[in-house]
Amino acid sequence: MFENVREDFRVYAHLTGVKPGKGLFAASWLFDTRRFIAALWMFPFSAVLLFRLKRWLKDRHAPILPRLCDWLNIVVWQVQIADNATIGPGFCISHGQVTISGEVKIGRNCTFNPYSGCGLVHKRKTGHPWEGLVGPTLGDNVFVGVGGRIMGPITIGDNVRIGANSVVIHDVPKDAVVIGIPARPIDVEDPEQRALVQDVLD
Amino acid sequence: MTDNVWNEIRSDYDAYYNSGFTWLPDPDKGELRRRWERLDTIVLRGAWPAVVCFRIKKWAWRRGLPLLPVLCDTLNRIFWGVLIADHVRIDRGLCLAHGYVVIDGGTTIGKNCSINPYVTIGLTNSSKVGFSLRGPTLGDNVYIGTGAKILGPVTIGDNAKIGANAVVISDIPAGHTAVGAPARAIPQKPLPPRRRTGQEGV
Repeated sequence: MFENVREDFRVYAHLTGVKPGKGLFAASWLFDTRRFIAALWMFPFSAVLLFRLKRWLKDRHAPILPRLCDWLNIVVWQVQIADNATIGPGFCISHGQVTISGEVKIGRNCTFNPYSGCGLVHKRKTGHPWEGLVGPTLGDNVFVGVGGRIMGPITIGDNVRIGANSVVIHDVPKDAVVIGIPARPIDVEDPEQRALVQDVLD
Repeated sequence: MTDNVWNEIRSDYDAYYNSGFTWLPDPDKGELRRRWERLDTIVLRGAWPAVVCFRIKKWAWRRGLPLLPVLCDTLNRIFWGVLIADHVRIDRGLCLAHGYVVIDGGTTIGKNCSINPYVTIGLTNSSKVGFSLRGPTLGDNVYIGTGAKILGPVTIGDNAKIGANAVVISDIPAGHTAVGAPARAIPQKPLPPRRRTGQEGV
């Protein structure tokens, strides 16, 4: 849990833009109080902390407390993350309002913007909807734009960027940029398409 | 709307149960444990209490009771991010998967509808239809994917499905799926109704 939290803090500390502490305050991430407070105060770092705490408690079969963490997350940050979501270190929720449900696996250093989510599809073709309780698998360094949705048992490679309001329902190879409903990878070689999304992504 | 509130709330609970919101019952676990897990998923983690709040609000609102409707609304807003206007009429069996739903205007929603997070059902002031307080009319068993918007006085037929991030500004016939922005209707194959039979996953 603590290794994950240290990585999460690193990401959020970078987001705050506050300079790291000096001397004694640089001894450990726990003593880097200025950035720690900034991350807690300005960004939903506490939402990620609460999720880590929830997983830690859940692994130890603690009653009620995991649910309390959930409720705090829901009330304060409008963040809902399922119990069985596996999230790698360096997880960043940039402003809250994220829904992650189902059996989701998320790699290292992933960023979720508001109104985005990972979730399930009601796949009635393959049988009963509960058979589709497996959510997407995300690689490392995946960036999900505002309102981007990733749905169904799909795999998304490393370093993928998902555009705003896109709906990803197919597998995405690594280093791709996907946009639209349903999301399709854009051709990075094509300067016209590249220019279209350059401003948005930067 | 002739139902009494208790029946409505009961069928809302059943709707959550039927819509695959809970995990498959694990035969290794005892009956009590399974009941608890179902309760935990629907009551403590799902947004079923938000639906209950809405039912109580409508009940009080119809009787012209003071304060109680406002209180229910505030609870809904704070805890689940659910904003449902006074004049919205929703038939029995509503399933809000996670909350974060805005339903505005004189919207009418049929039986057993399922609504996912970040959905807006509301009014429009487009140059084509002008402004009207009459919101969308939804049929029975409509499934609305995450982030979909249904705007203006449109009619959506029974068993229709609205894809994620779709923007619906025209009528969708019964048994069709709406995808894209603006949404276009695609006929869907006839499928058996989703019902829990006890034989799933066997």
